[in-house]
Amino acid sequence: MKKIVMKICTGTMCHVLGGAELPEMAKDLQIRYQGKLSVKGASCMGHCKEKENRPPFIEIDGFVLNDVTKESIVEYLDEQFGYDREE
Amino acid sequence: MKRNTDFFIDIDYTSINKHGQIVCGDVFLSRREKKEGRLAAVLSDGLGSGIKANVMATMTASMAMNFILADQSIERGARTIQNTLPQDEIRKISFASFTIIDTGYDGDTRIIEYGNPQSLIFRNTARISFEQSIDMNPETLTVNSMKVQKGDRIVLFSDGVSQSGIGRDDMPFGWDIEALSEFISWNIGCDSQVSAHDLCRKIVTKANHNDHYLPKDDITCAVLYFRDPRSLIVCSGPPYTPDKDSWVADYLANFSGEKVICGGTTAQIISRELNLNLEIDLFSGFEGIPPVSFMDGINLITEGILTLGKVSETLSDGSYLNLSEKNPARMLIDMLLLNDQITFLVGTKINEAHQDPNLPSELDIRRNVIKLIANILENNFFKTVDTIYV
Repeated sequence: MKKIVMKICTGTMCHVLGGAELPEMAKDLQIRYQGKLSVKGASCMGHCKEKENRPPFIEIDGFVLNDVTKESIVEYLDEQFGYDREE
Repeated sequence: MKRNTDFFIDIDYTSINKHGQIVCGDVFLSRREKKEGRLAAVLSDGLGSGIKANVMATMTASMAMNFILADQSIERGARTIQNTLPQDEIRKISFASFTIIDTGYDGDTRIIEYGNPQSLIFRNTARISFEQSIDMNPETLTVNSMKVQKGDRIVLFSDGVSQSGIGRDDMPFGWDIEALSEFISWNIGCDSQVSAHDLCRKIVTKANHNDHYLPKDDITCAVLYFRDPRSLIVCSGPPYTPDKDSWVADYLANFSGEKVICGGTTAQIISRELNLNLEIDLFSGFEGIPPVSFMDGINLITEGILTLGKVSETLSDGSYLNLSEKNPARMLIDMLLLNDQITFLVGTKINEAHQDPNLPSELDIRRNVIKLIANILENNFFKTVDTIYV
């Protein structure tokens, strides 16, 4: 089965605006999705230069999520993996 | 005179106060005279311990330093100090003893000793003696001279080191000079590149151990290590115009010495220009500092402004020792302090995303932060610093 690749931006802007907590959370996510999720770090991906978006950013299989929180990432990934949140 | 760049004097000292004292009665001063290409150092040990000893030692050391800086002959200086210093009324001995070192970057070295234990010289692991030793006065002043070579170390210490452990069954007369020499040789044998900083700490720690961690006297040891200069380049920030990218990458690739990149975007530029893979260790962030990355041929890659800000902040107030060794800022500080000639290659492009007033004020302009770090390294840590703006 193909893994979903999540890239976490470790740039300065993402770091100060909440991204600092994401690597720790990623460890939990890998357990939650039982090896179906691969997590990588990325240098500044440049999305912060676009004024309409707000850091922190992550990319999930190339799709950019902005202003992410732990909740919004889990919500998005649950949807991708077809998890039912009510369970 | 331009400093001979293939000869560097690494110098450091460590002191421990006598148990129960709040100040140290030993004083060590050193000064580099860049223009004249020489280095002068004085170790003075005040009689007794505590404030009085400290005042006497400080006075002696600063007098000696001023004599050297005023280009007076050090023999004359030493003699004047000897005559000026008050004597203890009961014991009829001077209130402070001293060792003065005057060394040039050409290797000509003179050591004047008065009352302190004899300084030791090591060539690799072997203890060597001075080429010339003149006793100016049978009971007091000795002038030693020699031509040092690259790799030599001079170890100075107060009697707190040589008399540590005195009265113990296994060392009734303290730490014998032979045993001390053996200890130093052994340490140099274990690590032939051991820095002045590490060596003097090892000696002082062992002396403290001899005294069962309740030092009976002030313990001070200073080490001068004559060696090849170590060079480090810190590349931070994208160049003002992108057409300089390849120049920066080439400069970095061709630099001989250790290499550091500070900044994610900078690392991406170098990775692209040199066609090298850049990999991030996502979980290496520590104490609020973003994680480090890896690239072939680069010793350390950190984030930019937050890391540099932390470096400047903790270097200026000395609190960097409190940072964990896993902290990327501490890794960078350790590298800065281990090297002698540091080049900052600074890209001056301003990151517009950082100028938002709602962001934390730590997001200072790179150029300013690096200027601060360069000043601290030059003035407090005696590094040779070059800054190149692109």
